[in-house]
Amino acid sequence: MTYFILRRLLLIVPILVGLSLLTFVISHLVPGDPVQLAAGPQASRADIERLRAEYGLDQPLPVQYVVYVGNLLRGDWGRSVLSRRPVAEDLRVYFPATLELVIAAMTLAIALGIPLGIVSAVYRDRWPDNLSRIFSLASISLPRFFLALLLQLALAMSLAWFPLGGRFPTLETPPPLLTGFILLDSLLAGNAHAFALAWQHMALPAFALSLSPLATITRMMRASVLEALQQDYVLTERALGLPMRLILFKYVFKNAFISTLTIIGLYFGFLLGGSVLVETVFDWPGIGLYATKSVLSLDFVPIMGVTLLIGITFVLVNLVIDVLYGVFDPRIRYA
Amino acid sequence: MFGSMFAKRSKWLRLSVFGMMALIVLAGCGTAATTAPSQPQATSAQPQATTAPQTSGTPKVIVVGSGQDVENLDPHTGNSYSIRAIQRNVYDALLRYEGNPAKIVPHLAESWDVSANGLEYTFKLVKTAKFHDGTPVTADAVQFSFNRLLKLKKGVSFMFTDVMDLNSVQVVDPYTVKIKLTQSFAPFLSVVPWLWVANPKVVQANAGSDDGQTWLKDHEAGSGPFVIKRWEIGNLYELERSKDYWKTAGAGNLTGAIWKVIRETSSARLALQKGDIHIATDFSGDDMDALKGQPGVVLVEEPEFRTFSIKMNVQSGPLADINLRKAVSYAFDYQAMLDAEGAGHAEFMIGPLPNGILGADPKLAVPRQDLNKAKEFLAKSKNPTGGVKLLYVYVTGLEIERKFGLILLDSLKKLNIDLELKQMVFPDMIGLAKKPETTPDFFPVYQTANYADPDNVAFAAYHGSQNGNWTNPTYSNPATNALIDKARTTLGDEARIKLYVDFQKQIVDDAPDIFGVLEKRKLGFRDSVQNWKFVPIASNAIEFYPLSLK
Repeated sequence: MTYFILRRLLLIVPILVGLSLLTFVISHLVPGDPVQLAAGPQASRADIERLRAEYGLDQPLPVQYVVYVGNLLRGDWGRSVLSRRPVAEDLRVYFPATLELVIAAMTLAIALGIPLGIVSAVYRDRWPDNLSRIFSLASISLPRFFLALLLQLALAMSLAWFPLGGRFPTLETPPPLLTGFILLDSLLAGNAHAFALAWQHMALPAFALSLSPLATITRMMRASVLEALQQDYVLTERALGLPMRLILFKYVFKNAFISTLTIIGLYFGFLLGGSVLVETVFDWPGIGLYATKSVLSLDFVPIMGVTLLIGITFVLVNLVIDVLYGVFDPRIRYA
Repeated sequence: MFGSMFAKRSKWLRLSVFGMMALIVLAGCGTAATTAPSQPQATSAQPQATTAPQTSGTPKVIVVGSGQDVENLDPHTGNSYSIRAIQRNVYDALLRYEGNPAKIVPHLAESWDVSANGLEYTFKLVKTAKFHDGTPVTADAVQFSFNRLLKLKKGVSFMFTDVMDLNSVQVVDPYTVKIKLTQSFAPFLSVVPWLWVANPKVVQANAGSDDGQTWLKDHEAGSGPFVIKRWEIGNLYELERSKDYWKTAGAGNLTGAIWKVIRETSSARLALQKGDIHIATDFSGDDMDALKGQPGVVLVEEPEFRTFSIKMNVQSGPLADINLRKAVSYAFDYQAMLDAEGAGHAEFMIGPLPNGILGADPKLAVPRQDLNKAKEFLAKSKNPTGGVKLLYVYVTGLEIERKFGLILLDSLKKLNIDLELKQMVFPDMIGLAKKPETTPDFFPVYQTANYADPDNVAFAAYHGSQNGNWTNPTYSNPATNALIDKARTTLGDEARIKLYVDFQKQIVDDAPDIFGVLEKRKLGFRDSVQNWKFVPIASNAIEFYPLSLK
C-alpha cells in the first residue's frame, strides 16, 4: 500500500507538468491583453511595455514558462497582473472557503444520498423509491444558480431562517482565522456562538451545492444495491437466516459502495471548480469567483494558480478514493 | 420482495425519510443572525441633509454593498471606484470635489495660488492636519506623495505624468508647497483631488523592496477620517472612525463603515430590502424598477459623466469611408437604445462630451435617426447599395451591449448592411483594438470621467496619441488633436469653451462614433442614511465622513 501511495504521489508530477503546460499555453495564446487593461485607459505605450517587462511578459513563451515553473518550485506562485497581489496569498484566502463549502456539501450529499439510495433500492417502485426518484430528478434537473436563488428568496428573504449570504455576519467579528476554515477556526477558538453563526451561513449554499451530487449518489447507490441484492451470496445469507439489516449493511453495502465512491471522488473535484454560481448567489468569497474574475480578465497567473491547486486537490482526493477501494473491497490489491 | 422484510420497520423508515428531508432544511436553521443594521421604514424621496449628530453612544456602522472588490489600497498604484472609496476615507488630498455641479474646494490645502502663465501652483496647507500616527501633514509629505506616484507610474499617474516630473514639487516651507508644471495644464486643479497624501515615515518604514507597494496593498498611511479595522480580501473591508481626525466640521455620526462585496445585484437588492446593507452602488435599471416603492428604500438616479458610444473603425474596413459612417449614424435607432436602458435610466448624449461638463454644447447638431439622410450618405459611399457585412464586438455577459448590438443590426438592415455580433472578454477586445487591421468595425465603449473636465474625455477618446488604446482605437485627425492640445493648455473657461465647441463640431463632422447614451448613476439607500449629497464625480466611491445613520 505504501508503495502504491508513493507511486501515485510521484505520478502527480507529470500530471501537474502536463496541466500547467496546457493551461499556460492556452491562457497565453488567446489574443487579449491584460497588461493594457491593468495599465489603465490613458497609459502610454512606454508604460504598457514597462509593465509587460515587469511581469516578464515580453519574454518568449518557453522562457516565461520555465521562469514560472522555477518560481513555483521556490514557492512563488506569481502575482496577478491586474491586482498586483501575490496569487499564493489570494489562494490562501479563497481556497479554504471553497474547500470548506465543498466538504460540507459533499458530507451532506453522502450522508443523505447513501441512505436514500439504499431505502430506494429496498423499497423499489414503492412510495419511498418514487419519492426519492422525484427528489433526485428535480435536484439534478434544476439549474444550480436558479435553485440557489429560490432557496435564498424563500428561506433567507421571506422566512428569514437563514442569512442572505456571506460566510459570517457582516457586523460581527469572526474568530481568528488560523486554518481559513471558519467552522474549524470557531471550534479552535472555543467560540460556540461563532460556530453557530458560521454554520447558519454555510447551510444554504452547502445545501444548494449538495443537491446535484446528492441526486447522483442516491441513484447510483440505488442501482448498485439493487444489483447486489440479486447476487447469490445475498440469497445464501438470507437462506442462512441472517438479519436483513446485517446483510444490507455488512455485505451488500460494501459491494455496492465501490461505484458510488468513484462518483464521490469525481464530484469532489467538479464542485471545487464548479461552485462559482452558488458562490455568486450567496456571496461566498471562494475560489470559483476568484477564478471566474481572473478568466474574464485573462489574468494568467491566478488562472494558472487556481488550475494547479484544483488539479493537485483533485488528484489527492482521487488517491484517497483509490485507497478506500481496497478498504471496502479487500479483493482489490495495490500493485 | 425485500420490502416485505422491512414491513415491521416501515414506520421507522417513513419517519427516517421525512426526517432526512427535514434535516436538510433544519440543519443550521434558526433565526438568522440579527445583523440588520436598520429596520425598513417609510420611503422618502431622497436622503435629506440634516444637522449631523456627533459620534457618541451606540456604534453606528454603515454597510455599503458593492460588486467590486478592493484589491489594492496603495494610494499611488490602486485605482478603481471601490479602491477609491476606501482611499478617500483613509487618506486626504489637497483638494476635494463638492456639490453638483462639482466644485473644487479646499481640504489639506486651505488656499492656493496659480501663476499667470498657469505653470506654478502654490498650496498653503492646514496646520492642524495629522497622520494617523500623530505626525503632522507637511509639505514634505505632499512632495513625497507626488514623487512616489510619478516614480511608480501606476494608478492615477496618467493624470500627472504629462505635465510633471520629479522636480516639479518644491517645498517652500513646512506648510507651503509649490508645483511647477512642465507645461500648462488647465484641468490641473481637477486632478489634484485624486492625489492622496501618504505619511512618508510609515511608507519608508514598510518600504521593503518595492517602495512599500506590497505593504500598502492592505495597510494605510493616511490622515483621513477613518482607519482600517478589518481587511478580508474578497469579502469585506471595515473602517472605524479615527479618534483624533484633524477636521470636525460637517462630520456625521458614523463610528465605522463596511465595504461589503456583493457580486450579484439581485443579492444586493435583497440585502438592501432586508436592511442588511445601507447603500448599494451597482444597481441596473431593472434593479431600480424592482425596488420602486419598497418600504425603507430610497433610490437615487442622477446623471454622471459616464458616456456610452459605439466607436467605428475609421482606418480600416468599410467604415474608413466617412460617408458610410455618416449613413450608419443617421440610420441608427437612437430612441430604441434609450428605451433599452429603461424609462428614466439614461439620457441621449448630445455630442462627444458628456452633458453638463464644461464646454458641452447643447446646440450641437448631432445625427438622429433619419433614413432619407442615411440613404443619401450611403449613395455617396463606396458601397452605395450596402451589401457589406460589418462586425460588432461586445463584452461577454454585458447584456445591455448585446441589446445595443441588436438595435444596430436592425437599423443597418434598412441600408442592406449585414451585421455580425460577437461577444468577447474585455481583454480580448483590448487586444483587438491595438491595430486598425484587427479593430472591429464597431467597438462599443463606456467611459467614465475621472475628473470633472472635458479634457479627460476629449483626450482619452479622440486624441490621436491614444490610437491603439481601447478608449480610441483608430480615430485621429490633426485638427482635432490641435484643438484638444490647445484646450488643455489654455487658461480661462471662456476660451476653453470656445475650443471645445469647435472640437465637438469637428468630431461630428468626422463621425467616428455613434453617440449613444449617458447612463445615470443608480444608487440605492436605506432611509436611515442621512447627509448624503450627490457629486457627479465618483459618486459611487462613497465618502463616509459626512454621513449619519438614524
